[in-house]
Amino acid sequence: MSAGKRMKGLLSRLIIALLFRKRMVKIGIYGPPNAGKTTLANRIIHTFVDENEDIGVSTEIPHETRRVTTRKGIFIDLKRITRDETNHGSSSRTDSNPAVAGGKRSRARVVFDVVDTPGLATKIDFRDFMAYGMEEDEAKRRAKEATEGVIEAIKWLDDIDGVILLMDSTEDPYTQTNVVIIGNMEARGIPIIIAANKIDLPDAAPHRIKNAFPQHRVVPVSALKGDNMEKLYEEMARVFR
Amino acid sequence: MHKCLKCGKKFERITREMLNGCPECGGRLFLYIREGEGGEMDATATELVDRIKIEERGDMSPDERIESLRILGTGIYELNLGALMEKKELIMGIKQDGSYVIHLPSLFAKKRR
Repeated sequence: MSAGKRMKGLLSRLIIALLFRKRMVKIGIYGPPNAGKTTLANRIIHTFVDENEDIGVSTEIPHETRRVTTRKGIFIDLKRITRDETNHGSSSRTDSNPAVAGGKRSRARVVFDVVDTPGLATKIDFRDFMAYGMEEDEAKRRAKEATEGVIEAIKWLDDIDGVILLMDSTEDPYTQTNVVIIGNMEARGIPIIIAANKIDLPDAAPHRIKNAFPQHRVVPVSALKGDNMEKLYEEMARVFR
Repeated sequence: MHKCLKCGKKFERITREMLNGCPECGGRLFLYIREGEGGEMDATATELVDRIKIEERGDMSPDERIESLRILGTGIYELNLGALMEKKELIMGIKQDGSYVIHLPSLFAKKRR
């Protein structure tokens, strides 16, 4: 390798290091059980990393995710995603991308680690799992693991730079869990984006979430169908930089 | 069907006036009777109050509780999210009989950051 090429390689590495030095942020996806946290994490990874890579399995049974899982080094490039979506003729875009439209390409890029967490709940009862056809022993084991998972998720908050608080927009948002999470994030000074998930369902009412927490940004999305996800990525790039 | 618990008058549906009290007697307590539950029709307020089962509850409000986790039985847990988030130590309450377990490693653990 010539000295010139080596110099160029070093230079580009230095530029990348400088460019992203302060942008390696850990984003935690938090929320009550069955809000769609793993579906959202999988959606983000499918969009920005690999269509075949999953962070976890999502099912209709609550507390399916019982350990914190992390996918590191996800590079959000809104210019790229906007172009891809346009090429695929996606109809899910609801508005133009201001980060790109304004010509500020650097503003639309962010590198982060995504942390998928077990659902936060105030009560975990093995009998709830038996309703899904689980044997008693298995249900009790799941309840124990889910409880450990909640504690692990909360301990992780010490290492989190930003939170996507995911709520199910078909449910009443004014729950003890949501209020406690928001209050604690505010006290810690951790930036939050509230994602009102499941807007593809007929009884979704994301405005209820907006009304309940007017002091925070609320982005209605469907992690399952991919609706309005670009808006969420824009907010992430803006808020979590 | 709604029944005024003061005068006993029954109403098919709630009207705007009833929001300020029973049009007959001004009573503010109404019993909602589902279809097929006619047995409740003649109950008096005192009988109904006696029938309400109050869940066994601790003496302290959630804010005053010291435990971050309460184990109510095998596979039944009650989590105090506020305490879990605010305190680094784990204090477990066993059932509701005033027994507590303090998890010492969590108290001594160094902060990760």
